[in-house]
Amino acid sequence: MKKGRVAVHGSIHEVTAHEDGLMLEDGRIVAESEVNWLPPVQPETTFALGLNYADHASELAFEPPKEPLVFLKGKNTIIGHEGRTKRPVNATHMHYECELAVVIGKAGKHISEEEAYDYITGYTIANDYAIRDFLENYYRPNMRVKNRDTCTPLGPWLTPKKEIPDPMNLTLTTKVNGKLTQEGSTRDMVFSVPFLVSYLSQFMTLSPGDVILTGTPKGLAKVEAGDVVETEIEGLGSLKNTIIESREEIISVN
Amino acid sequence: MKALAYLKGKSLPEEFDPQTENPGASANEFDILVSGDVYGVALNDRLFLDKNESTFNEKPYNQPPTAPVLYIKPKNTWAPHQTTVALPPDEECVQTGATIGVVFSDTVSSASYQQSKSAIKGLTLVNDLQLPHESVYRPAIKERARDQFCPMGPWLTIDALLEDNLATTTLETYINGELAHSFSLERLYRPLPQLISEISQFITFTKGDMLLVGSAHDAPLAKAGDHVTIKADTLGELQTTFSQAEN
Repeated sequence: MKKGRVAVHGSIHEVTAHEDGLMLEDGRIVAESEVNWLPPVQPETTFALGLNYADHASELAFEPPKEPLVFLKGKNTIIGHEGRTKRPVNATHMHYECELAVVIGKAGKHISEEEAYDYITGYTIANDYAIRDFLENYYRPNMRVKNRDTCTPLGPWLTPKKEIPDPMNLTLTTKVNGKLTQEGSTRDMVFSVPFLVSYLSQFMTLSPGDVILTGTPKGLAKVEAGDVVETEIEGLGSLKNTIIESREEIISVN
Repeated sequence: MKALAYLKGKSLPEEFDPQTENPGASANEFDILVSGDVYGVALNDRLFLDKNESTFNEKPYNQPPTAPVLYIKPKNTWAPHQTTVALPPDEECVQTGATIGVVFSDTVSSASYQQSKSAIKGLTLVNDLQLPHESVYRPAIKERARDQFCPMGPWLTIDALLEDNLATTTLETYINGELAHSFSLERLYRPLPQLISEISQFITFTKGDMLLVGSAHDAPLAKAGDHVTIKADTLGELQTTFSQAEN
């Protein structure tokens, strides 16, 4: 059963979907409008993939990589469903990225591709925003582009592995203010979910709570303050986020 | 001077004076002393940046970095004092990056250094390990994020933020008892105050996070069998031993 985490009535609860709203652990039903959504998992190490869909790589004028392009994210960047993401007031190139997020459930090292699914507990949706104004060619994509406070919404649900028999054949879509702007399928990943679990575990120990964001397909579009962005993955739900203006970090204009 | 020893199996750290006491009688009891995110800063060595300016003006870099070049040392890399770190089977050596870790006790967001000072819990030694790599174009996860590649400790010195904010601190690295390298933090291109104010513009530090201030580009290499000790005044000695992993 899909599970979410919310803050409601003064404390944090695990919730499941119910026909009248959301059900707390003790059976109480609350309306969705009453809750604040939190990320469904509190990620330990968050991995993210760059250029993991061939059509997206060509959109950015890159050849798909020969080896996974992996970067890491901190806890500062993760927020929940219906959260608000800060956009520097004069940024010119901020875009969303709808991604299948794989949640690790069991510790492992040197995991084979065949065994990889044994180490996965479930899936959720990530929106891996990038602000390309800050792009530099050092450890690219650098953290100022990809690891900003509030720039990685995650959720709403953690969907158990058994409810998703084939994660490599799911439709991903993004809507900005209700208009479809991105559509793709996880079948077009360059490096598959089991490959990535195996690959990472060859040189690092994976642990429960680690999360792998598996990259985004073609269909980038800019977002502006006030935009409502919905990233949706077949079988996992829809992750909604609102862009707000931030004056904290002004981009210097040369 | 006060320091906190985080000992395995104890829920609270023990306070002591590192100038007069040594809690290291059973040093293998030291535990890791962070719980959040650990950020490192690459290319923060002024000598290296000056010498390689032309490289950084060429492809694929095109221009020198304008902001701190950050990386994360994830949880699998964290290791306490006196850890034996296994090098991958096919790697002959590892670069030992002596540095100082600044551990936060509170939130620091869009803050000046002055504003952030009360949120710094203390300082510790860190041996920021990496497999040697030339290119800094793509994130160096395979080189920097291996298991146990971030030994730290032995303890946290809690009032060692010197008047000059580390600017004259020197870190010495001994390999098998011999002085192999000496790193003056005068070499930091961005000193600690500037790192905190620039990074906290877009990354909020929270309790249990740690920021590594940067290591020397010519930091020494160690191989399997070596014992490495990093020393600095009042921060103690951080010892790491290297072995070779079998396949």
